[in-house]
Amino acid sequence: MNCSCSTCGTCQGSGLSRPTIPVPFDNSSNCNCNSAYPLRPPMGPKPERPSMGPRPERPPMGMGPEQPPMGTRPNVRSAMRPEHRMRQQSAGNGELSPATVPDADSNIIVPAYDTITPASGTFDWNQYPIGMGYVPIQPWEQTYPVSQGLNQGTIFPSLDLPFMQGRCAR
Amino acid sequence: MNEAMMDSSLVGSRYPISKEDALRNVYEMGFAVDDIILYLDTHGDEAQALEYYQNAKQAYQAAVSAYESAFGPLMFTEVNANTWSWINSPWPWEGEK
Repeated sequence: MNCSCSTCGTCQGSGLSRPTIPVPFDNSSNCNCNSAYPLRPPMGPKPERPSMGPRPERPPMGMGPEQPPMGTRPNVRSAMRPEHRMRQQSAGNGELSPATVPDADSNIIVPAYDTITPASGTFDWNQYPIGMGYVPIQPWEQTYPVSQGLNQGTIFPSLDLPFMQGRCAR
Repeated sequence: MNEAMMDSSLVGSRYPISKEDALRNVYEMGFAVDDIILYLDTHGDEAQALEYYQNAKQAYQAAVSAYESAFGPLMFTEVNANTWSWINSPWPWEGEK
């Protein structure tokens, strides 16, 4: 079974497609809704996708510069798993800039989870794109024959979807 | 009966059938009933779904009856004989004999 999602890359050509929903969002005028929340500033141009570059050498166990001396409590960042530490990039001014997690199959730039600053506890939600959730109501349809329904895990063809990304792929 | 269930029609020349086929009919109709129940949870007034449910329920009951009359009870609540027929068939850990 195939799908045309842009994330799995292995299932092109079934005719399924993701819905495209235009979302008008006008920051230029006040809607007069008397909301207590201020208008959000415009997001600005989409940042360039960072190149991954060569993977740095991992120091041998116990030899790394971030290894805390015995008897001291390691700070939060050095206690992170190595793959999390690699996501952080220096901004050149001594501060850590918000790193991104480039998804290999997507153009969406999402800030890394560990850009949450433990010291201040603040997080810049403006770095994230707006998300919208929706669930269309399932319409009645001609069902599968019961033998096929048991095989596919549903009697409804519209729910018989190719779950290809996880370990459930058939 | 709903056209979609015709492949599992429980009438006519398909019986007597093997134990495996009889049990498969129970599984298939039981799953169809389970799935239409989930649909009806959110579409309770839909006539076609209610009709499907009635047909599927009857077909499920017929499949269970067909199995039990030939191969013994599937559930202990269906033991209606004068003897305790519940233990006549192999236990699950004994496999099929």
